[in-house]
Amino acid sequence: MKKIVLILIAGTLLVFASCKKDFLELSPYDQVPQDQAITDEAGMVAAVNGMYAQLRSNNLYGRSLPLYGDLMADNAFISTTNSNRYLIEYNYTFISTNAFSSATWASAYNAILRANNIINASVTSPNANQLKGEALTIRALMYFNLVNWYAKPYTVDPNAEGVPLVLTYDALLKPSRAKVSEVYAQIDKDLADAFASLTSTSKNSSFVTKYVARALQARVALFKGDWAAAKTFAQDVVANGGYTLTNASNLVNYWRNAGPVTTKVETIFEITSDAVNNNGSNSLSYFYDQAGYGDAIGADDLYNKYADTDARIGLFITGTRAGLTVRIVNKYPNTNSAADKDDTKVIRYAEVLLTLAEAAYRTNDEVNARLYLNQLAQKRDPSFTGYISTGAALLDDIILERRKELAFEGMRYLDLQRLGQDVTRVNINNNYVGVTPLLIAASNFRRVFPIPQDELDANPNIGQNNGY
Amino acid sequence: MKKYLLLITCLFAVLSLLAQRTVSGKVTDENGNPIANASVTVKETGGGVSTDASGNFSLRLDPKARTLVFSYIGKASEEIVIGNQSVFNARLKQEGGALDEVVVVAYGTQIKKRVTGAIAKVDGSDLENKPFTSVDQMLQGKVAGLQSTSPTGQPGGIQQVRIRGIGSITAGAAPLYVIDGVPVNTGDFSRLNNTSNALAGLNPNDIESVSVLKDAASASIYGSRAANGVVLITTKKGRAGKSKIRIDSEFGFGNTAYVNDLSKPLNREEYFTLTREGLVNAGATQGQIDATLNTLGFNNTANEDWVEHVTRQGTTQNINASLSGGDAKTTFYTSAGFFDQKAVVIGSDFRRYSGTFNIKHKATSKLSVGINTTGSYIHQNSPSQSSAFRNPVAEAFWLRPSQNAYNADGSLNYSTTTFNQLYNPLAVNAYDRIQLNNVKVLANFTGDYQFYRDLKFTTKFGIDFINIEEERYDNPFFGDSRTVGGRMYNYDTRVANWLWSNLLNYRHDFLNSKALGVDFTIGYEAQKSKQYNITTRGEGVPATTNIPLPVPSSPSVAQGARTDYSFVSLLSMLQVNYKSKYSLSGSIRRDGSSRFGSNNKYGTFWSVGAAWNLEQENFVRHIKFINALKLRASYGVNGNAEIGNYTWKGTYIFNANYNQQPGSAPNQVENPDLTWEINKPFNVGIDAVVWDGRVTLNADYYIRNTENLILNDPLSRTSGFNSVSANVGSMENKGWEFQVNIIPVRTKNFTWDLSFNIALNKNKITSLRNNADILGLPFIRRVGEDFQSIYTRLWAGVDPANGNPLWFVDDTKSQTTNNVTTVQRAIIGSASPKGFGSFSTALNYKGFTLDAQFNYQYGNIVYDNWGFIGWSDGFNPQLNKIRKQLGRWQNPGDIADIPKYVYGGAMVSNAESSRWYYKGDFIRLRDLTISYQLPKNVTDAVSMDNVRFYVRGTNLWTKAFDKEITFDPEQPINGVNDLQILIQRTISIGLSLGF
Repeated sequence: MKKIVLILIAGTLLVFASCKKDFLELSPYDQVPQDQAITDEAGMVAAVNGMYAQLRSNNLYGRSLPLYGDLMADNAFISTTNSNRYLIEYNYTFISTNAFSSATWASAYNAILRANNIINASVTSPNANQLKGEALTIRALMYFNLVNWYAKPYTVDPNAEGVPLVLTYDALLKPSRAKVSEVYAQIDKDLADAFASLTSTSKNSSFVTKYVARALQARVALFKGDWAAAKTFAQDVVANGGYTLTNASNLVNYWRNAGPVTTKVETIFEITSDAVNNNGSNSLSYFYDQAGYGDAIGADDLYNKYADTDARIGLFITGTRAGLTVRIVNKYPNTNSAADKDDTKVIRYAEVLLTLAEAAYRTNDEVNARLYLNQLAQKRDPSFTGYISTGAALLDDIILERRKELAFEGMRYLDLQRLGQDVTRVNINNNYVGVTPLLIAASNFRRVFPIPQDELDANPNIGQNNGY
Repeated sequence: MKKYLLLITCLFAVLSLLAQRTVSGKVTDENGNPIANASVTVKETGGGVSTDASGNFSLRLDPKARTLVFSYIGKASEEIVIGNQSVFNARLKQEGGALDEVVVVAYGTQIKKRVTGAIAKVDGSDLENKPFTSVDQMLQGKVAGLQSTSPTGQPGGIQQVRIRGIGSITAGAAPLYVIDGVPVNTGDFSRLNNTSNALAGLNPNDIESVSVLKDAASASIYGSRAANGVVLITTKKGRAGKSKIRIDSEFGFGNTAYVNDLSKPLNREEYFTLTREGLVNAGATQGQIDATLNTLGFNNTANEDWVEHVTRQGTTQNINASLSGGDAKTTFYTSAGFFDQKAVVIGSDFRRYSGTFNIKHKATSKLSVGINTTGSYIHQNSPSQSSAFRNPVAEAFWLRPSQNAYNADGSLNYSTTTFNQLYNPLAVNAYDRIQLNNVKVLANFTGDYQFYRDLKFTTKFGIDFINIEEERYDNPFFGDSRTVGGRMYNYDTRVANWLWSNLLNYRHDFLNSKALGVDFTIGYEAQKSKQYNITTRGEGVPATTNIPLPVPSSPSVAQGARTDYSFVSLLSMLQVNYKSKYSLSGSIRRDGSSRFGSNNKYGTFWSVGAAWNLEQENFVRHIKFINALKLRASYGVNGNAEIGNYTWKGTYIFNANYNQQPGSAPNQVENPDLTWEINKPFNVGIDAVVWDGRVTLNADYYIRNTENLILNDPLSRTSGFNSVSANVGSMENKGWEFQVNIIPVRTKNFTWDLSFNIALNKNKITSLRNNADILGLPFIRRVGEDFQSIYTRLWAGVDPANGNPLWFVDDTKSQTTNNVTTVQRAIIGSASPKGFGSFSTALNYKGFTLDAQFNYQYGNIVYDNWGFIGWSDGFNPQLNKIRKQLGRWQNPGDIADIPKYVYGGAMVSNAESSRWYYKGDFIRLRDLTISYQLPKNVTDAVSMDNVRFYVRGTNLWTKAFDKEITFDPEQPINGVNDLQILIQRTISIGLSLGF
């Protein structure tokens, strides 16, 4: 009898020992399953932070996007003393395996994934609309960048191949390219939806608000050549956004401030880096600041365009590099600061004013065009008496003012794209040497990035851009 | 009254005689010499005694006693049925003499004759008192087909072991280690130090035997973790009889095992001559030359030999004491060990204190319990390798002789003017610290209940615990952390692993003559392992180096992290033997693991094996010179579960912080299908013993097909991800293994043993995703090629006309160019050896023995990862060069293999190419031991069992077949020299005492 009992006990041990059902269900301790990540407002807030953090990637606003926009245009050059970074983009020798443009593609779609998961989450809480609005805005911003860097400008050919539109997560999807106009339609829709769901208050300028969406709507409309809409959106920001320009005497200090602001002065939206969360030696500031790599230098051609009385001349420091007297960019001076690191401005009030000026000009309202243009120009240079040009000269002045105001913020190349203009680098003081091309025609196939080779390899439904 | 007492006494005596009669006898070896301390036990009860110094014993028998078992280490056990006789003389034969040896197999032991799989056994005596920190290092050369190599000379460092080739591309390729039945966590758990080996916590002197399971029949019972082979480690246990005390003490000293003159750094004169020549070649003016040389220290007088500075005489000290013994009911083994080793490179050392207590107790005739525990404490200092500023080896080769190590006042020079690029390794060693303390505990509790004679239940609970505390201190004055005011790191890593196994075993011999033996086991096993990491780091330490553990002023990292895995398994084994002629074995195991995706949570792994002992057959029996001849074959399926803990899960990770607020982000793509890699080993083998045991041969042929290898499957980037881990690739390893032992001389006083083993493995990748090459320079993974194929540019030497570098344009070698960008890469060979093994010899004359073991490998290629600096033709000219550079081209018409020296370099001559690869063929005298054991009559006179002196040389002699090789030919599995801590040659003297 005793033996039978013992056998039974042994048998029980044999089969049921530690056989709890969840014994094999182990999960990472610092992570949550994807389907449980955004199920309530707290989860959504974290996911939204994570989405913004992705924009800080050095492949996006953390470095590459703003850098391409000036290096590949005529605002900045790479010193002969350099760290070998971005030379391929700068010299227009990239092919489909190019590392930086491939990384930007993947990083932008990763940001879109983060936004998609927020937009598609079924969370109904008081702030869910605001948070979804932020995600819609970021998704639109990413598609705006993708379609402008990897496809022909809307103003040149709206029916050209754009980029794949992915609005829901599916790891195995092999999407084909949507037309440029379809991508813009999605951007318009996302920004409109965002505007409807967002509020106009936020903690600071590193988060999206109603007027961030509005300001981006103005930019997008301008890039479509939809002047009336651009004017409407920009006017709304000017009238209702509450943003102001800083005084000329304070401009350098404004750029010296590494953190986001709550004052609505200048900045509408920026991506923040701080003492802990930053790109270190892979940051934008490290690439401009001589305390970092300092490879990128302001072009003398641009520098010479500022009047001596223009406060913006204070955003250059004259120094020496590789034996040349050069104009060092001083918009990102916090490389060595232990307390905080430079943010990247995504959109500023000045751009809205310039958009409004251009939209007014394009809709045959030269008076208002000059009004808004001078509003900015005279703020920057208080001794400037104001533009008085008319016709094509006025448009040139508006574009020049855009170049001067938004230099080293990544807008120049995109403006040249939408305007269908050549990149013309004026070689002053040996800025450009060796193989660096001085003229990149608007028709050059490399004016549009290649679709990355690893995308082509993994996705049979996608086509390459012409020329690659 | 007295009468009564006497009567009663007599009565008791008679009664007890009736119940318990006494038997006696003598145990001798095959030559008739008595064996002391042989164990004589009663099979049915487990009780027993040991023989005395003359081999005699006397034992009182329990009424249940039917069979006596005589056993002794190194001898085959013998069983004698008791019957009516009272004198039993046993003559024990040398083990392996006729395949009667008992070997440890998965979940038990087995007579070698019945083993159907490919198992190699290493005796504990081969692992004792070696100047190595962990048992895996000692397996080098001991087992055919087991490649064991040191990626570093750091004592306590990781050892890389591969059994029958490399069987995975991205998952683990190391074998599973099972210590006393408990699968343990092995590998490197340190996170701050350069290397640490979890197995170094086990004192090799506490090991009784190691069994290496190489094929399906032997290993598949370990299921999803058996694919890379299994190493079973059994610790020492006590035996009934006289208590034995053993003390082993050893002291050794060492120097660098392999130095090639070509690898020595230049002295001052050579360096400046070369640099001046380089400046001239670069077109510098006299003024520029003078200025540049002065910045390099030409105007000072320092002439440092940095290799001399960072190397030293290594020392090894190893002291072990053990006490073992027991009686019929209780046996025990307990030991204490101390091991201390200083490497030949400054700042690299290891110290271990260890203790073991193993006890087994028979509580009743049916129930026995055992507890095995071993614990250790390790203290290790481990400098970095590679180009890290904390690597004294890199600095030895790269610092200029003109950088003075000491100031005029004799203090260490760490001025950043002198050391503006690299730091003074003597100062780093003096002021900085990188160390670990490791507490390891292995413990298991085993209970056996014998329901019936044939049916036994065993439960085992084991724990395997590792706790590593790590510290790193970077001083605030110089070194990489000077810009942040110094750094302090404190890491803590705890890994706790438990296993519970329950087995039911049925063993019965059927038929009249007990010709048909059946051994059947079913079992259930559960295991879970948890790791907990604490990571802290801070900047800003007080401006002094006198505070041992400063608290940093700006903590920058403070986090905890956990990770875990679990397994549950059902297992079953069946072994059927018929008349010692035929054996059939089968195993099946069902494994579930947290590591496997939800669609493939459980897998079934199995094996079948057969063995045929031909010498039992009439047609072989009459061939006199054959003592044993066995054929074996096996096939099965097992798996590799070393695929990472949560690889299959799609998760959000909370590390995407923004605006100093926590942020979350998608981390990886879920793949619910992701699961173990499959391994299908086929094995045929032959074991033969001929000429009265004079020659033993084991030969095996195997084919290992591995499938479902985990690779990154690329995704459309529009998904937001680059790739997903998926089971897609496959690979094949096949080869031969031979082990031959010969005893050319065997007389009463003199024996000579020779043995030789070789393994010939051929690896081939058989499929990849879309069969696309995977480039991980310098390797290429290409279908049809060896896994470790080296893919590089083909060096064509130097243009005699102008000293420029030349490469072949492609692998047709029909055209050369000096433009490296136009050069195509080609496969030049593999980092895996074509063959490796050892040969050894042992001479025994009376008390004297001379043992030697030579290890060798050939057919592989090793890579000088840092040659592009060490002999760079002028690149990085401010770093010193090695003597090899002196063979440069100098004048037009010179035929040289090294381009002209140009200050700052020219034409990318130091681009990675076949120039930096060497043949890895070598022979190394791994072990040479001369020992003398005092004769028995002398030791008896002082009441001792054993007194033995020895002198041992380790890595005494190394022959590298490539004369040009600039480093030790023993390199990591991937053949990449990374300026590791140098491997040492040790000479030690030792003394073993037994009481």
